[in-house]
Amino acid sequence: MKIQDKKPIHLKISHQDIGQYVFIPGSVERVEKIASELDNPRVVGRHREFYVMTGTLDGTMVSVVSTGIGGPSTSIVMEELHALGVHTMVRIGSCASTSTLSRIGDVIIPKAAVKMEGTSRSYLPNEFPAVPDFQIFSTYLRAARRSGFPHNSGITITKDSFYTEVSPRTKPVFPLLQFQWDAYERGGATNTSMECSTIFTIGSVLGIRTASVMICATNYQAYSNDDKDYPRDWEHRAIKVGIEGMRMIIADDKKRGGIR
Amino acid sequence: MMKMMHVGLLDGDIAPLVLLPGSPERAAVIATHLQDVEEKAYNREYRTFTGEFAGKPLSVCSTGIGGPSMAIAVEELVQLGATRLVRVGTCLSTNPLVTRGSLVIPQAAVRMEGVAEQYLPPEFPAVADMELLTYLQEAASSSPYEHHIGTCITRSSYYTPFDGFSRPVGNWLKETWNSYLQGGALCSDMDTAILFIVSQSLGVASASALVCTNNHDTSLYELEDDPEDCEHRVVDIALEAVRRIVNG
Repeated sequence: MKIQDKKPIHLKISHQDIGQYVFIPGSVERVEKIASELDNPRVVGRHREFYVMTGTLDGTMVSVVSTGIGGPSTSIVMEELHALGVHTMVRIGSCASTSTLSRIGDVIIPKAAVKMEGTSRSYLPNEFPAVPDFQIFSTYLRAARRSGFPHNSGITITKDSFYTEVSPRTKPVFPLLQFQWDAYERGGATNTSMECSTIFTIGSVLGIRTASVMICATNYQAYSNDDKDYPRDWEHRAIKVGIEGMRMIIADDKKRGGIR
Repeated sequence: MMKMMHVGLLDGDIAPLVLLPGSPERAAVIATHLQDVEEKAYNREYRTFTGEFAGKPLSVCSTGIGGPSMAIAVEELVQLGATRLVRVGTCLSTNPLVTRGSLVIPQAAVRMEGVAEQYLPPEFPAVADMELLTYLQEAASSSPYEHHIGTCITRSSYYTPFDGFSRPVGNWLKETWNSYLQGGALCSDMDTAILFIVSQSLGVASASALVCTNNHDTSLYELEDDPEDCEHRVVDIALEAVRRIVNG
């Protein structure tokens, strides 16, 4: 694939400044927390919600780019990183429980995502499953097991509207939302966030290896939009597993002499 | 005691772990590997054997071709106490990476069919149980056969890719099919997505092991249904996975 020389219009960074292994958290503030686990981290870009830092991990260049909330801005980040030659993208995020199987503080590594969003449909039809790269997913499951943190690999619901979950009754389409959400939970979905299905789908189409590592911020049916409930005390778990998994992926790639 | 209307089985006739070939003939082939095996029923396309494998109870039940008969089999087997279901089938390659005789273990499946929507909406992913998938992966890795893990297209019309998209909805089918290929789909079959979605809906675990019976550019006239030279490969890895499952 030809690597783009021109700086992409949203990220405004050049390919020399970005690693081919990239963490894509949603939150701008989480970028520095993740980058602080890298060697020699430096800021290489900051435009709109896209904050970019680059450092190294075991000698390999690794970057962190915030996607902002939701599929539209995430798809822009993935397209522009892909044009710059990035082949591996791992979300480090937060999610809420949709099942008694997921509890506050659990590390969540979803095996697939419900596409309750619009962006992935601009890539593949609804019936195409949104799944992470199997090898990257399996590596993260191993990293989670090694970490000793409680973890879960259930299906995640990717929704476009945060307040669908928090206050569905205020929406005119409430009965429909309730039917859908109820079906997802009965189908075994264990958690929900706002980017995974977009990331997995675009990964499948562009040939980017993807996975997602999230921290569960709530217990089942204890949703909250109170800032005091933001999972600040727990997010280091997702970051730790995120970094460890990336080390394992880089080591596997070195052993094989390149990516597949 | 109630006898299930379609599979023709009674309570106590099956083990919690069931292998699901599509064809009744393959059910009989798999049954030859079981000890103390007994044919429990053969009604319509559902042929069921129960016996022991690796010292533990195991059943085999054919599902027929396609989602409608698969959904009935899963519903009735779960009512009789099945908790783990593994499809043992064939598939057609849709990707140059997957050649005749290689194995495909679907991680997830495209829902190009009509049954699963009566269980979960189309945006819900049809995905394998990761524990069962891991056992199949280990079994395949320990076999001499090439294997792939990825996405399988489950279509409900066998001739869809082979009729030149000449049917009235052909133009739409062609573009849809191309989008699946660009999404990286490895193969297609007629049952996996339904097995996954019905199992997920009923709260039981399922996975699928497939052997590819053609190369991706094979014409209709070169296809074979039950290829004698490679059918045994998928049976071998399914039974090896069962050995690992029952030994924990």
